Amino acid sequence: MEPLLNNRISAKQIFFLIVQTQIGIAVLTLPARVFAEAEWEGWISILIAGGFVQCLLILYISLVHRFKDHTFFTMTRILIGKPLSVVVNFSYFIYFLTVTILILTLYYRTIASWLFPETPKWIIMALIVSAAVFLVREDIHIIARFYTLVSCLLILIIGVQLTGYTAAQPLYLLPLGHIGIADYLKGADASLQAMLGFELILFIYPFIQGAKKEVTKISSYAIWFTIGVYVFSSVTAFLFFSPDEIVLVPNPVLYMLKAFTSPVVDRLDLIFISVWIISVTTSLMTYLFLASQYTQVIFSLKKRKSAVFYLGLLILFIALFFESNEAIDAFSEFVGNISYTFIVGIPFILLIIALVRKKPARGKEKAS
Amino acid sequence: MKLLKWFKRDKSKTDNDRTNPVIADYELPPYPAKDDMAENKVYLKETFNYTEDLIDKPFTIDTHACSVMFLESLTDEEKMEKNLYSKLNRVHSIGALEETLTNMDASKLLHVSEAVPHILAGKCLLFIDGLDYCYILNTNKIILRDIGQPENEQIIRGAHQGFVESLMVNIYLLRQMVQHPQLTIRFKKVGKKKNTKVCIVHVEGTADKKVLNEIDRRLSKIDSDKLISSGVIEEYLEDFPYSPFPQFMSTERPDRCALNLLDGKIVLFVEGEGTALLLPMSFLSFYQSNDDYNSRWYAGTFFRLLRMFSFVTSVTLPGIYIAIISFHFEIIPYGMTFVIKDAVEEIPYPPIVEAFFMELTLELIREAGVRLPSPIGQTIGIVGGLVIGDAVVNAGFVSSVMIIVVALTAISSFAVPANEMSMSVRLLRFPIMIMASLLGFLGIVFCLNIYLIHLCKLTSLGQPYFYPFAPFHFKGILKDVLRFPHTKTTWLNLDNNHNNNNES
Repeated sequence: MEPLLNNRISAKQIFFLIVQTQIGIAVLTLPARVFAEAEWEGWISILIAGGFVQCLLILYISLVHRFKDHTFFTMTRILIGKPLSVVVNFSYFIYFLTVTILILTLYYRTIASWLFPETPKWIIMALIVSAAVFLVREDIHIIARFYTLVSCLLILIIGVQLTGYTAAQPLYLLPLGHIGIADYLKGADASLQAMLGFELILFIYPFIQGAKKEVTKISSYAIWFTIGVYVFSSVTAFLFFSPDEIVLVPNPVLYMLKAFTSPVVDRLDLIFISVWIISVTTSLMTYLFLASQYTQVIFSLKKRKSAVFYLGLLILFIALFFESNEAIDAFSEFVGNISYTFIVGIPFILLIIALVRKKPARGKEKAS
Repeated sequence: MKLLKWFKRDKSKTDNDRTNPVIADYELPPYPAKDDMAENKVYLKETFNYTEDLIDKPFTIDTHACSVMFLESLTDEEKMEKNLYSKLNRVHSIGALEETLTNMDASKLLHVSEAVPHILAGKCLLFIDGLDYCYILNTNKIILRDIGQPENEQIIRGAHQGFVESLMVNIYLLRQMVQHPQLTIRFKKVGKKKNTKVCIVHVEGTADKKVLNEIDRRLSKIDSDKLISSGVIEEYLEDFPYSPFPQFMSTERPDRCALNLLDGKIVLFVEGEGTALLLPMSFLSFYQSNDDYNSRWYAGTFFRLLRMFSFVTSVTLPGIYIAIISFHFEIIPYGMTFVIKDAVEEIPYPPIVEAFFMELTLELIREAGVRLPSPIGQTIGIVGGLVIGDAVVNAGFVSSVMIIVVALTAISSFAVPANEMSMSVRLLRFPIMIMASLLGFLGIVFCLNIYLIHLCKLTSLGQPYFYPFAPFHFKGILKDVLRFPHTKTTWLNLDNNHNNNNES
């Protein structure tokens, strides 16, 4: 089956697609999460995770570049045969849905604790899902345009955190090197969930117009940009809160904004958490898009539009089940664990198979 | 399914039941001109239902009875005098008469029935007794408005001309401004009965061929049998008829059209209308005024930015007020708390009711004032703005902060240079107000998010509507949002036919 490649995106847009997918709800809690593992050296853990992600990215591109004219789902069929590929593709589909549900649940939890404790859950979730469905119905180039446009919000997250430097204490970052290698790695593991989103390149590579080298370069920039934002947020939080305080605040970024006052506006956190819905939605949109790509390939649908709508309903319905904080945490943990299979395990195995079998001798690949 | 069927049936029923008094298309059986002049005259009079402005002027030349027939209301007396009467004095035989007529470009008709549309267009018909044909003479009256400054698109500096209701004058105005052989005019008849003349103007080479073909295709699809106006054509041409945003600009300014023509846009006139449609348009072009280019560039840039800002305030300001008062009073800083508390505390209604009351009042005042003669319009403005505003605060229905918000919103919605955009902006505000009353800032951001997505999706005849924001183009933003000195824009020179491929 030929993938529908009628709408291409430029290599530069990859930057925004990756960054917007990666940066979402997790940045709010990230400083606290890495602090729990690596204390005030958590930012080094983030850099380590970044290096890891960079390696994965190169692995991905070397894999998908061999199958330039195929989407991931058709590629697996060529590589590992039909029966196995059905299993792999379906598990990716489930994985995407799981991530969307996780994003939805986490954002609702933040909203419920910060803004609207009484508002019914389905309303807030329906808001996010409906916005996502509205965009994901369109082709990838429209999605890329939207992501590029809303990337100005990234200035916001950096800008509002600058307010934290009014009460920064540089000594909180010292001493360095007081924990072992294992702790750094644990911190890196904790931050990996926030990095999810770069696996996008596996699935949209055929849509990109641009040489392999350029794509690699730009997607690496994207990853390091995200890491830069994460390191900045973590360092700001570590400077603002003392090591004793930070264990008490689950959302350091928001607490920091809450403390800020000015003669014009108070409680920046309320504005920020509302505006941040857009960045959260973009992450959700990407995964919804990927899931709908799968349905398009499997059911050979001409149009994804209706599939997107039903997928939206489905994730909304499932997301409503997670009630307690414990359940959400366990779910979050679970997604963190299974994500290794999907971002490391399967692509790695596929690459090895591809290397062993060489390029499949098909005219199409040779021509390109 | 039953419900669906019911709907369908209902619709078809109303279609059939429609008893709009549409004038039946007149189709005359051919009636050859007879030798006997009187017979011809009777036929003509009968066709025109003995209307009293059908004038019949008999005269004789060399014992031959002749007659001129015309509709008095449509013919120009002066032209009659110059073209016909003055020449008749010098003619003394039928042969000479026919020669003069041929020299005057009068056309010879063998059927009287063919003359009817000509007479309706203001020409006059000349019978000569004993001849089985007649002559048609061009004597139609043209009444034109002055090409004065259009009232709703005024500028401070620049050409003060405006389009009028005649196609030819409008094309004349454009040709005066764009004196170039590549300025191409195409006429097209549209509508079910092909009776509306449309004129498509473009500059060959800069205008996109695909867009031109698409316009042509869509114009041919119009099968309305009503009177076709530029508004109807606009809807037939649009990519997204359900969008709240105007996708084409209507303007009465030739200089604006000329600028856009050179920029690769296409101008569309409808006969009998003094408005040109500019297409395809982008969002930002509605926020640009010709004044920007005629003032100092600092001022031009400043006012452009001010208009962008006015878009944001006019859409969100009432929503922000509602959100703050209903949900997020924490964000009011300490110094302001008491000021706002005093104003808001005693108000009996929730902010959404308050806001809707004031916004709707304001829209009412505007709507009432638009069609009134300007002295009464001003009175309405004063009564509405000052009296109602003051009384409503004193009575304690609406807070004084709300009045400030509504006034600011109204002013910023009028700062848009293009009227149709100002209308859509005023409508966009209402969903935001409702969502703000339900979900506070979250609702506002959600609404804005939806608007943004919609803007990203929107195309105007296939061209991205929200360019240069989506697809993002940095130089394009510098060019469209700011205005640099004309002499320093070489580095901003972009190819105007941006397409989807050079997105960055």
